[in-house]
Amino acid sequence: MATREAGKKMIMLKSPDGMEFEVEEAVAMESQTIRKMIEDDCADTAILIPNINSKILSRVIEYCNKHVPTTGATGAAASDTVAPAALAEDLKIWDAEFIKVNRATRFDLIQAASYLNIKGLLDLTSQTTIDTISDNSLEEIRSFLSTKNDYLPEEEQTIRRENQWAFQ
Amino acid sequence: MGRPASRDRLSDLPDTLLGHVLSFLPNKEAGRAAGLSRRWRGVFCNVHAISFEERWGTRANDWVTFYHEAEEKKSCSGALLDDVCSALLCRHRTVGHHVPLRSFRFAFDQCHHWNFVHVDQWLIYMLRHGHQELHLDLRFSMASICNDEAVDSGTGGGVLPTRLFTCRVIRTLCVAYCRLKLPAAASLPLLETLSITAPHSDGGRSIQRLISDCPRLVDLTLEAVHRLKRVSVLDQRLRRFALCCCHNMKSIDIDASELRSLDYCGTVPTEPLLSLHGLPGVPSCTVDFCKVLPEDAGFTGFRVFMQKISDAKHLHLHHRKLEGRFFSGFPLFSILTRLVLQGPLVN
Repeated sequence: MATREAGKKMIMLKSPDGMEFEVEEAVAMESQTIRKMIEDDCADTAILIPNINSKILSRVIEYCNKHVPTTGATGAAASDTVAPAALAEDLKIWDAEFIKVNRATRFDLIQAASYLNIKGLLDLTSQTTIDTISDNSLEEIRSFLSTKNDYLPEEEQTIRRENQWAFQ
Repeated sequence: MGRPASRDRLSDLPDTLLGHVLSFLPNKEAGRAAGLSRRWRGVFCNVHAISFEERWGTRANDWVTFYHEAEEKKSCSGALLDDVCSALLCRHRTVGHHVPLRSFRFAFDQCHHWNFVHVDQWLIYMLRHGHQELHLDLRFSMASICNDEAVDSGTGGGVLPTRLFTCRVIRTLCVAYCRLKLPAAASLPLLETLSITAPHSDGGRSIQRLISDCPRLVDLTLEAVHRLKRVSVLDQRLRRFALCCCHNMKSIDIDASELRSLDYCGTVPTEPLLSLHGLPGVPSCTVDFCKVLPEDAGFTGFRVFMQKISDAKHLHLHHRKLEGRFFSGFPLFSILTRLVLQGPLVN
């Protein structure tokens, strides 16, 4: 949990399983959903984040902490000494490490990123999911996703006809 | 989370999220996902990015195959036209809800005027169905840009619909090898990225006007814009600027106070071409001289130019056209941390 620092507004986030997270306002505002709540003055007390358990929420906060723009008092040093290109590269490496999670966690992260409206995280999780399934045959993707083919054989023909452009 | 590991969690996500995930795939692969299971049948309608391209030099002028010897005479770019039309038509399949398109990109190897009617339809569709943000990348040819006049004399370029330049949701606009034909009052209030490559018969002044009409512009690329002699971007704070093979350019004025990256490709300027206003230097510069003046004028011009970017932290220099003597008078780059030199080694 973050500790209160002088001059920084802190926001309390609450997960449905009862955990509370105190984060800097700037970090919380990486989420457009929370930003809107703060701007609408709905964030006086703790904000309850529904559907996102504490394990996932803590990972999301970890992501936002890393990605909050480094401006102002704390960030000035970092942005002065490190060129942005290098910073972007570091972030990429950090992202790649961050997203090394099992599939269930990744899908939870997708959902959380979507609900909290954090574009960077949503794109990162989506891209990683795509990387694992692209260039595979339908059969391979089905087994990877544990999806059953529930089409009847004649329906399959229809689907192919419907989407002929994609199967060419 | 006690769910059994075998459960397919991805299919549990709502359609719009699956559409977002599939938007990262090439469109055809995303379209094939309909074959996975019933759950996936209509997911493609939620994909918000459409992108197709021809390969360079493959189809453009093969009139024998596609016209003279073909039973059904159609455009050489028929495959591209079919793909884009099918992908757009697919989106009509679900009635009721409509996920707005966010990004649309096509690249013709070379676009025959037969195709313009299709392109027009696509763009009208795009403008009608883009709601929150729209990123457009419209390339009508893949020709190489450093061809001097040959590019600009082209007459057959497509004309973009006027409405494009008053669309309030466009964030990115990249256009290559077409005619812009700007309206009297362009208004692109949210445009952040603008890239213009080899426009057909558009005057330099109208392009300058377009740049001025984009108050939120942060990323500007100008490639082979031969009619443009002067550019000034002082009202916007650019973060990235690229100038490539605009060989008639005389002066560039840029507010560089937030400029992060500068790409220059062109001749060694003999005149003081570039004026960077504002205090901090540009952190990252890429410089490529595609033509070098052999005389001393070029040598002096080179020094003056490099002096201007000597506050860079990163420098990427293509030195294929630079003689050894250019390096003897190199200005001091006092805070450079990364240097990339690219080109052949000559004695």
